[in-house]
Amino acid sequence: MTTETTHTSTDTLLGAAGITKAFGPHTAVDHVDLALGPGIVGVLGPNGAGKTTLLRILATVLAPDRGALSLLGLDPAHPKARTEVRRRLGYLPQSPRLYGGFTPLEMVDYVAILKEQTDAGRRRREAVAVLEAVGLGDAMHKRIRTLSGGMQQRVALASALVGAPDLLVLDEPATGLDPEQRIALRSVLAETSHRGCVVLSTHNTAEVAALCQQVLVMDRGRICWSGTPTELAAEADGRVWESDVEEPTALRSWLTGPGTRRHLGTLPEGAAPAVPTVDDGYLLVTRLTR
Amino acid sequence: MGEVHDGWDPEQGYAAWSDAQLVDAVGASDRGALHELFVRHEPWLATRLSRRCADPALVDTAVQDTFLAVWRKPQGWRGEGDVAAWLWGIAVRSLLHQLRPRANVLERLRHLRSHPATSAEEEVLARVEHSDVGLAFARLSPDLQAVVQATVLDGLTTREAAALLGIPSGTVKSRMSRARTELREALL
Amino acid sequence: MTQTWHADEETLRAWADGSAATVLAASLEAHLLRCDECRRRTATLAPPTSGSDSVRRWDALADRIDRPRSRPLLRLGLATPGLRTAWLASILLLLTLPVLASVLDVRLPVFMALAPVAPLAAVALTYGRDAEPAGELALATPTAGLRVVAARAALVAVSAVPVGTGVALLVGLPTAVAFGWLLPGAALASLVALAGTTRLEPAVVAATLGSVWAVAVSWPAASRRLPADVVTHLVASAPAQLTALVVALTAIALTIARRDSVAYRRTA
Repeated sequence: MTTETTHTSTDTLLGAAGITKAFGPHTAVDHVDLALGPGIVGVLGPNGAGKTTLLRILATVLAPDRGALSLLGLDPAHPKARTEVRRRLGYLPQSPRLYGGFTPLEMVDYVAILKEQTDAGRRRREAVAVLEAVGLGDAMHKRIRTLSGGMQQRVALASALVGAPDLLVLDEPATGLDPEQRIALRSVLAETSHRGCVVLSTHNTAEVAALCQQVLVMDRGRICWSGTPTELAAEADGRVWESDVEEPTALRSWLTGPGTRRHLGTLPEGAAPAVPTVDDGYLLVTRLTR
Repeated sequence: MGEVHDGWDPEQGYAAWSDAQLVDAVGASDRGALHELFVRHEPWLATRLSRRCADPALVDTAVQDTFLAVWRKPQGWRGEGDVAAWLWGIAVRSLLHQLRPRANVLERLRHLRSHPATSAEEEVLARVEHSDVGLAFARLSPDLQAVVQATVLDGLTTREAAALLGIPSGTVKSRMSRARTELREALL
Repeated sequence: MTQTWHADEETLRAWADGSAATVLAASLEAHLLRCDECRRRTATLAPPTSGSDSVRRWDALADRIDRPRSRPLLRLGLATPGLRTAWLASILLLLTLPVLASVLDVRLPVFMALAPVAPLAAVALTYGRDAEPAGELALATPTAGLRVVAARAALVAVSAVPVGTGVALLVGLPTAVAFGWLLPGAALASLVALAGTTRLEPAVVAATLGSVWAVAVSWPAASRRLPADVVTHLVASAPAQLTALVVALTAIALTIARRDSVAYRRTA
């Protein structure tokens, strides 16, 4: 179990050392260290774990109380560097509240203007391309307020993606997506992940398994585990079994069907270990660090 | 029945929609619906326009004007008749407008006395659109037209025409006489 | 309605390459208006170059359609109803106030009490949650922070100035009064802007400052200690104007110094 993420690439696109942020007595982010290269990283944790606060800090929207940040080799504590980072950054907040009177094309074009893309023709072509990539090619001229919640979320995603950012910070981008749409999201993020860093947050282990190459488990403000989704599942190897009775020795048990129970913990005598899932590993890891 | 997923949304299946449904969707700013209308109608519109006007730039402009009009004012189609007919109306008017732009007031006053000289293109246009025979022929129903084409234009005998069209010889003869009557009436 | 008769390939091909006779072409064209299947077939039978022509025409069409409507105020995000209302409301206020002040002949210095409140309200509204069309997303862009908020506030406030002054002069208020509301207005507005860099809610600060100002200016006349026009001329006098100028400049300087606190403040 490590607290520092290792990566195969030699360049660290996103580095953090001792990042801490507290709101009054409540510490939302507690001494987080990161070293991320190209790829898709998922921050997995329950609600209230501090994921949104951490992502806000990484997106330069919120300043940490303590700690050092290095985004794309720049220190966002300095205003000029921060502006430069923001030119190459894309951020999708948790509940994006977009102005309903715009059309998706107008909104993405507007955000592109905010990102200082001055060439109007190129800006428009990129906006059309990114909207087609998120499946809004047919709806790009309809007012945002007439679109479904999922489509509105995709407008915000397109706004984050416009301009081909090198750093993408996405707060719960897969909420409400069905499995096919998750695959579509993965392929949309794939291009950025080849040369840039994508950080997304979720509380759903299925999303993590489908989308991420690396996982950081976050609980109560701290990163308590890091590795690949497969490694996370492997944490529960030999420590999960099923039976139809209650097991008082188990760390955690839950019903998986009428009469069947799944248990985490030390395998009792004679019990056959079940195939561990990412979910099992996640529950075990968060349990063990409590 | 399972829907075909294109990734983000189930496939819209614009191909199954009628022209009327597509125009309706364009009214709701559906870009995919406009694209489907374009795919269906641009080929024949461009060809038909090219037969009247040799200049490809004018044809391009007329095609674009047509679909821009569809996008900006889809309610221009009142819901009666074929969408294709409405499109052709816009297209040919755009072409005419380019060939003979609306003269300003002074020019129009100047032309009141004399008839303006018409160009060769305009003459062709006039001939085809307003030719008596062409119009009358067009007004015939397709089965009558088929018979006329087979016997008069292609020079087939009644029996050959009957075999080609898959109808009895008697029907060929009766349709021909009906066509003749209608054409005569139209040309009088 | 499906057609019972369809054109044969020969006819279609002849028509497509322009070699068909006039009358036959006319017949076919009339048929094409009604028959979708034959229309589809013209697409496949057309000469090979026409496919790229179609693509070219679609690209040109998409280019025209995909042009966002030109909104000159878009850059500053003045497209949202919230901001437009702020702008219109302050302009309206400044249009009617001078007229009211001269027509109503009240004991209270209405114009001097309320005119400075207009830019104040407008600036406060630019900090509102709905002032930014892209919401929290915009906070991660290079233009986030003081620059865009200040630009919006300045645009709204500055456009209101000629309106207020112009109408006041038109209506016959003394020149000193017509111009005398500007510096107090600027001072109040810049104090609200400064509040935007702190944990204080700009709307609350604006409401407080506005009420305090209006009451302070109206009180002497309301309690009959001083006549209305004396108060008005007091505000328009040099010492008062100078004080307002100093307050405005100090507040603006402080706001610029603390400009990096603007964006972060919005999410706490």
